[in-house]
Amino acid sequence: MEASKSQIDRDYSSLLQLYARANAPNRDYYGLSIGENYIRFDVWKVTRGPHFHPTQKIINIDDFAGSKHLQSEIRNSFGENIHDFIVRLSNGERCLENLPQRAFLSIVKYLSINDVLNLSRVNKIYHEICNSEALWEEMFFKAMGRRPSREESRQASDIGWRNTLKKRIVFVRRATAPKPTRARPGQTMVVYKPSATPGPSQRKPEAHAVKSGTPSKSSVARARTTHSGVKLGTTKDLKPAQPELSGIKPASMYIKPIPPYKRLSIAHDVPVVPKFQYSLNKRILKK
Amino acid sequence: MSTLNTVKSPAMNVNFFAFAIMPNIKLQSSDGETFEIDVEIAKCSVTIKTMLEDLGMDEEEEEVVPLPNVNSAILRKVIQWATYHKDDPPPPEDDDNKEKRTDDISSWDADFLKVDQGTLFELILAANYLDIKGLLDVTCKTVANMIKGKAPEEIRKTFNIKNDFTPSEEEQVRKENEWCEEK
Repeated sequence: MEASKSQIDRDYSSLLQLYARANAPNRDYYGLSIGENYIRFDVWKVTRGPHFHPTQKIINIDDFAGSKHLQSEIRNSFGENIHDFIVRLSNGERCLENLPQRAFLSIVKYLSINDVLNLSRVNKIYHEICNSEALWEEMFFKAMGRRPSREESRQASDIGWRNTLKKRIVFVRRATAPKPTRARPGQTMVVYKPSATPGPSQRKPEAHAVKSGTPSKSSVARARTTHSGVKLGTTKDLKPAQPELSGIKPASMYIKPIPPYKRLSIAHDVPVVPKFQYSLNKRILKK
Repeated sequence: MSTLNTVKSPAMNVNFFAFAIMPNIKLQSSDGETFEIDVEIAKCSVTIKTMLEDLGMDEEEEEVVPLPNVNSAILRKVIQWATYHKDDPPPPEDDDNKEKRTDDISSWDADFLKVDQGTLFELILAANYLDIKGLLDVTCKTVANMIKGKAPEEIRKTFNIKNDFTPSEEEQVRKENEWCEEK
């Protein structure tokens, strides 16, 4: 018995929609839409001519057990798991993946983004139901705690809610992350670690000289200072070596007090290595 | 009942009399079993409530409300839940800004939901169909607790799911889903 078309049009709550292409030498297209009470199977044979129009087969889900031909076709084009999914649905066995979308969303609203991403890695069916637009719109709303702006809605209609949320999160994370400290080749990076005990000892922080790339004599002359916790650019902090550290020569020995007109450039994270020196180092590296 | 019939006057609230005269309602499950329960209990389901309001209640007639999507075992559980929770205050409206908690399931509900997974999902489905917010919330929380903080392999084990990704597909899906890993 064929389910009537109007009945399906009204039943907008399809559980699963999948598309597939036949294996390599063939290029036929398959579409599958599974609802509460129907299965719609679309085939477009384009491999060898004559190229017929796409064909559509709609059957009632109760008749699935009887139609061996459709079963084997679905098994070939979509895999064993999808076939089992339909069999379970036609038997009335309920599981997490064949809940109607509204019920599934009311579970998802208790989950974090990480949980949903993990769930979508479980198998192909979960990958499909965890990537619906409705779900990610809900997740966006939950993660942001506000309605999406007009700009974001426009972006979402372009690239989808999932990617909109991803962009937002990556952007926020980048903006709030501490800036990475990296030394250019031939440049000495001095990392000041404020000691754990507060008080006067904070005034004379330990100095670790980190060298990267090939060491060259001129490279030590200028150093880029990176600081965590203590104000940047104040010459007060850059005191000469302490007597107890005299065994190891601390890097701060080499650091000249920075003239005030150059402090700005350090604060803005511009490398203070002169250009010619950098190119010189590159040449050394090449050899 | 007859005494109430005698005092009935058109000036009085008809709805009040509808409750007073017919305190019971019959619900019929998909496999034909009928359950007779208090109207007030049945009205925790928004679906039944709107159905009764739309149809109106005749005092004389014995009405049976058919529920084609719910079988008798599940309906019995739903009625059990609704009877226990009949005096609860109505659940608060969804506040989306509030962090959704899943650990506030009462001990009675937790015991009530110690059932196999098939029954649990049937209950979600019934609560969704009958529009019983309290039951839907508590069942969804239970399922969410089964998913939370688990790796894909653990989720597969919990729900007895087969993995149909090929290793290369699995790697690809892992890569596309790792943007929220660290937190």
